Amino acid sequence: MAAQMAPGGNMAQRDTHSNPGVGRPLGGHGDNVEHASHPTARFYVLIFFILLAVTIAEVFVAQEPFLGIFEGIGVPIAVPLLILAAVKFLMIAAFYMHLKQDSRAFSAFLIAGLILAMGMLFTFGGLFTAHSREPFDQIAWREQLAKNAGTGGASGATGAATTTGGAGH
Amino acid sequence: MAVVTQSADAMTERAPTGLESLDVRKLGMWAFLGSECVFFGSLISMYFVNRPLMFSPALEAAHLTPKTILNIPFTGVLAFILLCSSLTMVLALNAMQQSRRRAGSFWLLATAFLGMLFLGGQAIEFIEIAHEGITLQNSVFGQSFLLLTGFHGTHVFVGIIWLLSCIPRALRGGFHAGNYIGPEICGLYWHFVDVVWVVIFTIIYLI
Repeated sequence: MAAQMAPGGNMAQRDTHSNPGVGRPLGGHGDNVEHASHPTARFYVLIFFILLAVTIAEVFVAQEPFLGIFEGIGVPIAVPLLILAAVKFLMIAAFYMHLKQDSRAFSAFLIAGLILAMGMLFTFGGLFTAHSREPFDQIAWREQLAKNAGTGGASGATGAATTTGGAGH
Repeated sequence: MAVVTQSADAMTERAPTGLESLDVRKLGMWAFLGSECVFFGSLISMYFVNRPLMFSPALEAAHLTPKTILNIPFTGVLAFILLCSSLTMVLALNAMQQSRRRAGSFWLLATAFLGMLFLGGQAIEFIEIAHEGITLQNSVFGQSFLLLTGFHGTHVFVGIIWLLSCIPRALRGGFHAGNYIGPEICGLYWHFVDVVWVVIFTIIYLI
């Protein structure tokens, strides 16, 4: 297994799956030339069972009594769940998508996309949580606005929507 | 003259180095998957931004929060189906790499079938949510959840079409130990769809 999974060499040398081959024009025939042995079917099945175990662990962790245990020790339930999801993500990317043995250039594209996505998530998260978006209880708030205005639910709801838009920005 | 011949030979025999030795089709697929990360990142960001609006005393009283609407055991089964499809996909590629035509075709078909099962399960989930009265138009949760999972389902659908289109060529022996780039690129797309579901399952359903 170690020999199959051993990372090797630089960016180009690690592209063992679809290297067009030495001395051949790039993209000429579109054929793959073998440079290294591939992981066996048994290895892929082993990875599957590990992923399955992690998935089952995720479902159990998200429910009682584990939910209460994590809350009891002051750890948000999101922490263990995100760690388990990250383990699954990395295992699929490394072994099923062959990033562990392929060129690092391929990993760079995925990592760049992930960095941009995470940047967007934190930026929007910061933008929208920096200012209060209260009240979150939209239904009760609309009822209150309608009561205050004394003009019925429709105009109150319109006012609520407008104000919510303003608060969001 | 001899020098010219030598340099011409050297050019012919020169091994590709660095990035030029990479398969451009595979590189293109990874660039596409990188952009897909940003696409799904934007949808997940939208869900998070709207998440505070999905929980309120009034909504909780009406049992209309994500926790009460979503059926986690059922979605767990869907996650298991998609995980199985990732295994069958990688087994299909493994068979192609060993020139096992029939086995490769069988695993491709199995992957497409599991993808269809997943889509069927997602359709059932959407119908159940619609019966709760939640649609794209009438709730923040409906908008955020249906857009995110709907786009994922669309990706699964495209993957199924791609897999099915590979099967005739696989049966004719078009993919073998010397050429398996087609199912390999299709596999990258399929595994990415699975990876996205790993994230959605955790963030939307479990947290």
